[in-house]
Amino acid sequence: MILSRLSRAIFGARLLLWLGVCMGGTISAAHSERIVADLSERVIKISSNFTGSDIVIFGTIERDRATVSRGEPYDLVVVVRGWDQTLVSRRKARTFGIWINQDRRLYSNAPNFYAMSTTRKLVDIAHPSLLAKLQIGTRYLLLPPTFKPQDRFATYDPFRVAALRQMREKGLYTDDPSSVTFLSKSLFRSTIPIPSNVEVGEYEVTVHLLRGGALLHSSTQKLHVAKTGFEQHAFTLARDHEFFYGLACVLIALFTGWLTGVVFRKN
Amino acid sequence: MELYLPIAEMPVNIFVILGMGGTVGFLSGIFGVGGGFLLTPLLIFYGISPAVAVASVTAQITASSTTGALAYLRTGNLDLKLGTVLFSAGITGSTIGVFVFKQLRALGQLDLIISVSYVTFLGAVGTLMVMESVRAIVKARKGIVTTRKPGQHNWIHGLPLKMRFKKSKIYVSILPVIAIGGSIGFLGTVLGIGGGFMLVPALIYLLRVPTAVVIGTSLYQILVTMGVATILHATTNHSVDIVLALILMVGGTIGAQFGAQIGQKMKGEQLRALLGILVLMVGMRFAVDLILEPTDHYSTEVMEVSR
Repeated sequence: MILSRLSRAIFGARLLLWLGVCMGGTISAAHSERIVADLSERVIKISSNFTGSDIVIFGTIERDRATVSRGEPYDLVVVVRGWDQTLVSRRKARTFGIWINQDRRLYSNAPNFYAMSTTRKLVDIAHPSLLAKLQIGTRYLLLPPTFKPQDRFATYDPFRVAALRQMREKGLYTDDPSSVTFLSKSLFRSTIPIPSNVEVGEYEVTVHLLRGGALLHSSTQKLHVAKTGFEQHAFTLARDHEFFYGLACVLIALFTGWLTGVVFRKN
Repeated sequence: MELYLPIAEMPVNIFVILGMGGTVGFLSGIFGVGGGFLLTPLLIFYGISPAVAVASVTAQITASSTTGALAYLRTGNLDLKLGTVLFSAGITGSTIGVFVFKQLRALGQLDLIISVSYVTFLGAVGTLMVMESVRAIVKARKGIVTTRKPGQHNWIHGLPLKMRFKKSKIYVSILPVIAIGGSIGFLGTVLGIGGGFMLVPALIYLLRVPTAVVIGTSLYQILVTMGVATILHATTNHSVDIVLALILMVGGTIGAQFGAQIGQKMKGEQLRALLGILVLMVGMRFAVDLILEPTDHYSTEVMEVSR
């Protein structure tokens, strides 16, 4: 879906560019800037000594000759996002003297991982409605599909706030304003830390280019997180051949238990 | 030194886990119990999810009870027949336990059930042990010698379907044996405990099994029940972390050897009193958590997707 959205965006950009050229440059080609970006690593490998990792996203803003340079600066937003899952937020209440989980709320559009870095504060970059639409910033996550920024107080939801806070505490949701740095006028780089509790799977790294509160271009790369070696074998075995994995665990336990008896009998 | 756990999907400090396993192994060596009721809560407090903690401790208990059961088998203090009847019921209890565990996890009440059960069972068993051992210590001080009188029967001996267990020197109805085995299997699976601290008193006080045979038989029953529970946890919940279990096994076995040496120097009733206090303290820890207002009223969890 994101791919199709992306190709539509690229198609739209090309169309506008073509229109701009045809009309003799009378329309300033608002979408003529492009981002070319890449990652320092395409695959993060989890082995037994994995305690987290950093990925570096770097790239350049390409402009064609027709682009009129304006006073407003470019803004870049880098988002590393996993896949959507359903989060359950539960609230404890006192019942018969003990604290029990009572009410709960579900959020089906919660990414398992979300890390964002920008050139400056989000409020300066774009209007909340655009940020919510593009899902830029952790505070625009877990929103209902019908969300409108003007009725923020109407949709104030303590369950959602708590879920966001706890995901941030776990290091799974992060906002890092002003961590995208420009090396020159068009060359940029950003470092995003990937915590050790990250899940295995395919992630999307998207770079959004904005100026004057409008989105100019987005570019998406894939990032894979995979277990290697023993960690991978144990994980796949436990998931796909659960009975044999369980049996192997029991056999290892029996063997360890027997071995202990043998080792310590002499003493 | 940090080590990444493949199933728990988090790095842990290997020395902290070894230390936990060692300390609990030391205590279990002194008291002759598995120590699952201490180890599972410790792992949960460390930050490992209750599901992974319970399932991995199950594998660790299998290993530690193997060592113990083999030692008792060599000295002949193991009633295979009684143990087999107990674990046949225990496996049924475990199977029900694993499915209840899965349901509770989906309902979001697993933590509550684990806490309430710990408070109830640890509280009850701890109180009984302390009371019994204090009485024994007082009697020993006064110099009263109590012997088991022949023909002294309780209501359990009036039940039908009697069976003879030669090694244990008892002739008893099979119904209470099945009930004891089944409930220990069920609780052990849900709570991640071997249940030795409940099984031993049940066999001594309810079935009147001689103390010498009790520990070996209970270890044998725990070994089989926990082995089956490990497979059931692996197939139903995918939550057995073999790396975590192995570290616990290594720490636990080393600790247990040192503990056993100290345990042999202490008197039986003193040991039971200390174990009773320990059991009570763990129970209280859970009670405090349930009664005090939590600092965070909210908890977030990823909804399980049925594969």
